[in-house]
Amino acid sequence: MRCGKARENLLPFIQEKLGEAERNALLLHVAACAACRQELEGTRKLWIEMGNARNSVPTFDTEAGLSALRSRLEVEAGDGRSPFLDRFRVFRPAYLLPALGAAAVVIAVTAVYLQLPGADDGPDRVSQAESESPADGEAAMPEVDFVELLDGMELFEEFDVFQDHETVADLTEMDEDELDSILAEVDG
Amino acid sequence: MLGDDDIELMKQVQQDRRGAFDTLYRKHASRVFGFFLRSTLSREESEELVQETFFKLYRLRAGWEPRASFNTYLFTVARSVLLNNWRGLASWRNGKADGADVAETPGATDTEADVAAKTMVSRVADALGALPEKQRTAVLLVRYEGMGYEEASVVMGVGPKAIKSLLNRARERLVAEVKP
Repeated sequence: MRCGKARENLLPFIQEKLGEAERNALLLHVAACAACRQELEGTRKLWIEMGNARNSVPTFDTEAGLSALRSRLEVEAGDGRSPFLDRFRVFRPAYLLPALGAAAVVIAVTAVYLQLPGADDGPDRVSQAESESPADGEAAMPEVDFVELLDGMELFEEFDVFQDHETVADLTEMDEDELDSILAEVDG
Repeated sequence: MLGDDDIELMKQVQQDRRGAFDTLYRKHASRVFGFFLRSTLSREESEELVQETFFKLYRLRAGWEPRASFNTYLFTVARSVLLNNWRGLASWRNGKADGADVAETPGATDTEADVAAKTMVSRVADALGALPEKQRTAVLLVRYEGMGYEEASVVMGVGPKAIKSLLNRARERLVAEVKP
């Protein structure tokens, strides 16, 4: 037996947990190895000291502890909270109420902002126009305005009208008949 | 056997019989306190940890099943409470705690032998407190709580061979520390 294995077996030897063969091998090794013999004596002494220390823990006031624990359990049982919900701090009133308040403020501020004039500028206008009914769209963007807009664009001055026709149709996804009637008005 | 009566008591606790819970507390609180005191070296923290352990035991009563002895279950809960207790862990790291709470202070009327014994208890306590958590817990469960390697391995969630290895490493350090 080598020293490493012998030292692994010192505690089991003291605890009488070794089988006969291992026990005999350890005893043979210890008889021949002074360092391991010294280690065995140190371990035996330590084991005894720990056994003595086991009984020297200062007393614990069991009744006072039990009384405090009962109070805690009664509070727990009396407040009607669900133990499941209690695992999540966010459901506790201290967290939940401020969170609900903050959410209400955010909703109110957003609602006020959306009511302000000009607040719907930008990309939202496209989606707003798309969401409107066709009748509303015509009212909001009269054909004459669109014709004037097309007339002022270089598109009609620089390029072939039929290519432009297709390009505008593609860009606007406008019905071609509708665009024809607009172009006739431009030409005419 | 330690566990049989306790398993009956725990079944009664499941049926919300408060008297059974009180009996379990009176029977085991001191031992759990000793386990915590040797781990944290702080009386105040240990008292809180005992409360936390039994509080948790009560709250988890519905899910308890008598698969192992009650002792194994109790110390599994206790260790989990210990590991979750950041204050205890912080005090080890900061070296605030010392063995003073664990060992009785030698008194004026003590004989020379008494003083030597109390001093040795204090040295062992300090040396235990300085061990890494796993090594210390293995020693506490096996030597101080009288568990076998199998039972200690269940509490610590490792194999029995790991317990043997932890004990051997703890032994090496403790022998070196406590050597006169």
